[in-house]
Amino acid sequence: MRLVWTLLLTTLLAGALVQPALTQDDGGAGGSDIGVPPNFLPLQDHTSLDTGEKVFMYWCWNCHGEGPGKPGTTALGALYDGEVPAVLQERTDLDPEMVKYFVRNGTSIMPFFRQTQITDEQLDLLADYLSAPADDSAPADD
Amino acid sequence: MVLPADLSEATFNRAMERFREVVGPDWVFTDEENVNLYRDAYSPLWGEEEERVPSAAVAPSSAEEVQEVVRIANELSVPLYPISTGMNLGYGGAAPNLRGSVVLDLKRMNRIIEVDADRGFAIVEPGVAYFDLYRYINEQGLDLWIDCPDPGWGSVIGNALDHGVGYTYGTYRDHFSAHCGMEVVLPDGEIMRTGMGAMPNAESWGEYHYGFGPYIDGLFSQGNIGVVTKMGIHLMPAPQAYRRAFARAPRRADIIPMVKIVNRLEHAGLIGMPRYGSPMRGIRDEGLAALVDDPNGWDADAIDDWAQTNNVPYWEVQLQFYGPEKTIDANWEYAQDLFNEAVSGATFEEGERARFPLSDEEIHNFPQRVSLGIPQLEVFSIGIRTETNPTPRDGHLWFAPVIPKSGEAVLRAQEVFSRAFREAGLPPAYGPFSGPSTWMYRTFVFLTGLSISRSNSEENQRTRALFHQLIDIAAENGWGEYRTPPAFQDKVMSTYSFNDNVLLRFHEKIKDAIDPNGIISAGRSGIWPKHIREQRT
Repeated sequence: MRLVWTLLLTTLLAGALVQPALTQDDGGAGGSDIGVPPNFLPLQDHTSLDTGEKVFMYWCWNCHGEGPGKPGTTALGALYDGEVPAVLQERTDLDPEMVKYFVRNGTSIMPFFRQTQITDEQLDLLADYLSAPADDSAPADD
Repeated sequence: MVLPADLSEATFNRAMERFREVVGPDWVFTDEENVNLYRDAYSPLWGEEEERVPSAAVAPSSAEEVQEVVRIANELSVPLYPISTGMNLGYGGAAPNLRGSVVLDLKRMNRIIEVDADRGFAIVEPGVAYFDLYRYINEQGLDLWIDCPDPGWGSVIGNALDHGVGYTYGTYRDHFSAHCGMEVVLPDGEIMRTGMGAMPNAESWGEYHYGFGPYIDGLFSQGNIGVVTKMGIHLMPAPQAYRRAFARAPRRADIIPMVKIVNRLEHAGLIGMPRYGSPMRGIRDEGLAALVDDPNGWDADAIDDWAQTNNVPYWEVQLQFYGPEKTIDANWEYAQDLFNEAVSGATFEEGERARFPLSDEEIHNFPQRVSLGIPQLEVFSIGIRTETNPTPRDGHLWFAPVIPKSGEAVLRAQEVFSRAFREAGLPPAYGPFSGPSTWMYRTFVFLTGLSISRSNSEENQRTRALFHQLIDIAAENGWGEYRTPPAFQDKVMSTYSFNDNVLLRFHEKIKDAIDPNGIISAGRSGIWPKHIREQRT
């Protein structure tokens, strides 16, 4: 996967310095079977995340991604016992309303998320991303 | 909608209108669906009449907007409850102490103002999460580490202000201790900077804590006389290398010399955070289980004998070394020498090593990543559904008494708290293998998590009663909580009662002087504004 995002942060304080443009590629994990760089999404204002995948990576991946130490993945693995994939991005049976319900209501130890964290517009993107056919929603390799 | 007793709906509505003018209509929330998202997901009062629910939320995007909101709230006497990211789960979440408060949500203020790798600090806004600061440092290729608590989505500022803690090295783990300088909006809307920041054009705001004159930053930690809108935090240089290793001791009483050695290593800067445990905890044996679960209480000597007979070490400590490779190898050798001198039968085992920087794949697979300052959400594995736990919890409360940093205190706390659960007729949360939590640099916390339920309020009532008892029992032994959910803050403050509660009376005098209308976090840490104190008596 190669993600290249460039952004310009706006003025931080009235009269203060402007941050330089930040450019970031995938951090060098390309070619590994990890799929996504761990804990690593280019810096940006979380309120401006504008794709479902970015919202997922920022808010959900650390609990629901692939790999060790992901409690959401562990819990869903125990719940479904292999009937469906434990990693959310690999699911093909999610519908948008279900995704929205869990984000706004939580379940078990998963809390609910507020508008200042994930706006309704971002939640629509996230719900579409997770309920899209798996081939389209899985992160693409290089 | 829930409003405080002395706030009329008309005044509330007028405040909301004016808040909308300041922050824009999209960032004032009064509808039930959105206001409910500010409830504490782990509330021990969930669904009950007394649950600490807010009436609304307002989310400014700058310190200037915070000033405007606070001025309006002060003019109209509308109680506010500031949160940074509001992810303080287990200690209260986003919900206020006072029912009907308006949550002042600072999550949109997410700017990293400055990071200086050479001088080792960052200055951030309240909405900056550990994930954000970590990403920024990596992206910029800075030779710096952060120290983070368990949940990486927590706020750097909020965590420090609530005396939150982390996992790496020395006093960096004590996030309030590592903070340096604040910008604070006071209850009248005036903005103040502390430390060197009080000097216009100061160049060392992120470096020198104190500035000049009395040091007041502590008043804003677990406090309620201002809204912190910026803060500095000291950051550690990335070490060349890391290694972890284990020392084990055969006897129960060996915890006493073990802690002395580890304290010596830690206080001299030779190790980072130690992690204590007992290999006995993992043993599945009917004979041992009968001893541990004895309804009349466990017999320490009998369990100790079992350990000797079966050749299972009673205690283990994980030591973590940070620094130049040569130095940390020598420090580990020195540590083994100390154990061999003081603990007969001590054994050792090597653990993971790392040389930095790690590749992404190495990070991905490294166990206990928080030890490397890599923010995670792994802690939420506690209580989730697993193969062996088919009934997941809905959340937890942390009971977190501070006890002395000694083996004697650990042994005594085990016995005291085991007895408390036994006498309450509840499954034991503490036992003969419970170890101390070690985030604090200079003390232990003897932590346990109590489950809450979002569907069974009777169970929550029992848990609350137990929590109150535990606070009392701890206080009788000279142990006080360092942090607690709002439902227990009055109680905990009442145990810090030296000289007729002079500490609380002092806080109340400050509260009345700085925030006479009582608009900031009424009830936080048991400090209530005057008009509510009068209603309560």
